[in-house]
Amino acid sequence: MSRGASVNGRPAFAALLAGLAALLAALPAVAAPRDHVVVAGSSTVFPFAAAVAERAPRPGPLVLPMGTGAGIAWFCEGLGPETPDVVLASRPMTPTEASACRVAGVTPLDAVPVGRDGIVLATAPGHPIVALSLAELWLALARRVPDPQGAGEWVPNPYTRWSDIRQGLPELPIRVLGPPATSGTRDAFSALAMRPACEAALQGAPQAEAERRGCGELRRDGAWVDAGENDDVLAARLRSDAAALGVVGYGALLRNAGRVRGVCLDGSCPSAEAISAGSYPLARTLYLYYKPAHRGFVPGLDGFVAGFRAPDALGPEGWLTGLGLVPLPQATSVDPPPRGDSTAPISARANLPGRITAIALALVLVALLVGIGALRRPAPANRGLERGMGFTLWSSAAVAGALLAVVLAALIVPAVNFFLQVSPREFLLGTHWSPESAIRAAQSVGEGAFGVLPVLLGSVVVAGVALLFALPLALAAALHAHAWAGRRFRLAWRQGIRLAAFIPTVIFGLFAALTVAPAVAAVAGAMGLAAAPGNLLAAGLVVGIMLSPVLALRIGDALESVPTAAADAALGLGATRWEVLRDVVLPSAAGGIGAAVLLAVSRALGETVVVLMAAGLVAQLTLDPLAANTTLTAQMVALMSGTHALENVRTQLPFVLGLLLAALVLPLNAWAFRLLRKADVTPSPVF
Amino acid sequence: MNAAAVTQAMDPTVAGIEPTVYHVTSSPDGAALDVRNFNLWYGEAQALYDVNMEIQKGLVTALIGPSGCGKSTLLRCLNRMNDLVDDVKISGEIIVNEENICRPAIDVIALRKLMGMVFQKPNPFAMSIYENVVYPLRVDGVSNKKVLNETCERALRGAALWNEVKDRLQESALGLSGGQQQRLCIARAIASDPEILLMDEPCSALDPIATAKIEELIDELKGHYTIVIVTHNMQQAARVSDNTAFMYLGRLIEYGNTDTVFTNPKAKRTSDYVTGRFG
Repeated sequence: MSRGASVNGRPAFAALLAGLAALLAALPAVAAPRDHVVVAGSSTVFPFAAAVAERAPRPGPLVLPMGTGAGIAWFCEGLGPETPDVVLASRPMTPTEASACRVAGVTPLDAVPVGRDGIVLATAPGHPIVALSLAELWLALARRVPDPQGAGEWVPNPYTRWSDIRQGLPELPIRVLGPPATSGTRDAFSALAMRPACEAALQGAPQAEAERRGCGELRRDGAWVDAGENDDVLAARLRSDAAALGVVGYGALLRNAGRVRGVCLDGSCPSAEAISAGSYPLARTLYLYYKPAHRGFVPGLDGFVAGFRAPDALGPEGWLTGLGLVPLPQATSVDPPPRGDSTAPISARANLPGRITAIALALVLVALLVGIGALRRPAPANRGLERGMGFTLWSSAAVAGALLAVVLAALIVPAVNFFLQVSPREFLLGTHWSPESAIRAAQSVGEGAFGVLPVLLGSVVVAGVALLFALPLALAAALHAHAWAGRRFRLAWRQGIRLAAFIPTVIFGLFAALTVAPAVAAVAGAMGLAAAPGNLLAAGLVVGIMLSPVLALRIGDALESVPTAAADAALGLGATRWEVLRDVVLPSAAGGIGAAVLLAVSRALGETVVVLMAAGLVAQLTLDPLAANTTLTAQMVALMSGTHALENVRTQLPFVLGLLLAALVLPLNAWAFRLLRKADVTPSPVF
Repeated sequence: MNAAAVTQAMDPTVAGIEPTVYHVTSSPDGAALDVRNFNLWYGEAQALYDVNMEIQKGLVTALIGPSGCGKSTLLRCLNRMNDLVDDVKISGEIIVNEENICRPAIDVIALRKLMGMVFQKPNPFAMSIYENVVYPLRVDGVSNKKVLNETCERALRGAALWNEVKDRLQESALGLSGGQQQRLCIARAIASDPEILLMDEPCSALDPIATAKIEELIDELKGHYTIVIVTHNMQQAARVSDNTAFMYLGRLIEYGNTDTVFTNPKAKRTSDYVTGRFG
């Protein structure tokens, strides 16, 4: 499971950028059918797809690695040139995803297994460990294991040396380098290696049933080392760290043949044959899904899909094999079986509720039109009609209110469920945030992994930087427009500022990620400061740039609301423009300006896209604006990616963060509106 | 009408318009302000036509006329407050102390310090009574406590407000009644001891009792200051002023001794207006 060079670094970030690039690239294509294939999805399959794409006739397919979940979500948005033709998946579609596809009309849908991939435990060539059982591997890496004293209780992992686990193993400290929680390889390692071993251990121990929740969780006492996403870098580290083991994709083993060696697991050594046949335990099938309906207007679609089957690709010397793709066993490759319910046949009955909904909607529409028509006719003075009208309006308002209540309940219920599993104290006061690792390790009790403080601090730093940047700028601009500029300039300025306020934030996000963040890192580097490539300063600056038009407009409103009489009086007394502003206008406008600032702060706290794209996605408890950090909103998005059941903590967490954000922002807004009311400012219609 | 006694407006576009009638009561000290051939446009629309008028030093000059006749515009030209309005064009001169104040090079701030201004609505600052009164000095950079205190008392006495507020100088000026606020504004306007007081309908927002007090005050201030007052209230003009200028549609129709203007106007439009036939 090697990762292509183009997705090194933060994959979610890269995936997001790629997704945006794809959206932008797809925009012009909306008008006309495309001349190239668009491929999205798993970054594990990406290197193979890229190799196939390279060999395709021009214009070649566009391959966008964004992760299986995100790829499938986009793929299943519907048919048409603005959606991808092919999605790469490192797992079969879930039933939920398949039904989303069906609902959007993406039928028929063809699944093609493209090959197999293995996760390999690698060592330096001279390492004494050549074989392990999965149970031993689990004992070495699990967070909680059965008490070796044999009491039947489970305890935090006590093993520090391999020899503690079994006599025959060497007396080396347990140290395993592996990908971080954000990686798909880590995900698969957890699911294929840790969880089954854990569940097997639970089979004979009914008294330890409570441990089932923590199954698959990795220990966090240093024996497992998060060593980055890049398998080749990890392989290089294994050569210098001769005692360690490493978790890498099978492709890395091939590329580094002779420099690292694979450890055999449960008696099966990592080889193409073993992975292909399924006898190697940590192996899985990779898929691609494509839309046959797109054949008509996307040339090259069949060619791309067939490219994975090219005669020179999959042989012993094939170019896909060389990249680490393991061919499927002969039988499957000839006749791809439908994968479970992922491509379940669609019966006519499944569409029945859809039709009923459509008919109901049409009826409502007709009723509305008839109602509007009736309203246009002169109404007789009729008490009944009057009452009916009142009742209709009242019930409409009631429906709106009820829907709002439903939204609130939908926010509160998952949050309550979350707090049944994680204590509020732990959440609000904890200083360690790595929900991904807790979730991937199927840890729902999440000791120490759900501390929101670092993320909260990230939000505050971004808002602080943004305000420090935006307030002087906006204040100066507003003061100039108010007191120095002529009327015509002022009108044009306000118009321009209003337009600027409508620039989509994604544009600012691109600017932040591609221009400002590298520039900040370069400048900081030149000054001898350490700066992360994505950092809070860059995100804050761009949020500041984004806020300043609205802030300037609101400050302008506040200044406008000061009665001109007092300003005239001061001018008449021979005060300069600056003295008038300082002594008369600004003190009177202070409330309105305060409100503008409060609204800007709450907007900055709620800003998502820029931060997601430019601030990095690592949670750290730091005040350093040059560090990478993440915010409440960015975490909400990061945690919502992919499709998960509502019972999952991963899905509940965004709701909790949303509630927290609301709890922060609502009082700010309430305060702001109070100030506005007091200052008698009529806010401009901007958001 | 005695054609020899009037100055003919020279602008050919105004041909057919009757020339201004003058019968001004002169001051022994001569003119404080001399408006010469003054025209003003707001954008394309002309608001003042060829105004010629000498405002006498130490006397009260009232500007009357129906709404929109340009009297407030003229007043606001005297201390260049019209600079603040966009698209204003002017021609002509206004001479103060032998200097044309319409020149762009003039120090507007110094000019405005030379003239106090009182507005239609009382407009005290949101500060204490004390700070309101000494604000012109603060702007001048005066920080000597003694000077400030003396000025404050002198100005408030001058505006006949001292006895009412001397015990609450540090309270907000916004807590005063409307009439008190307006007298406070007058105190503020005279605090820096200007030569000229410009009043733009100073009593229009006040009740009759407050109005009477302001009028009394104007009477007391006369002599120390040259006062130009715009008013809608003809009785008020008749009561407080020495000279009255009647303006109509941007033109100065008649300018002269107040008693004459109200009892024996020389121009027909003036007599129509003061007898209530229009306006």
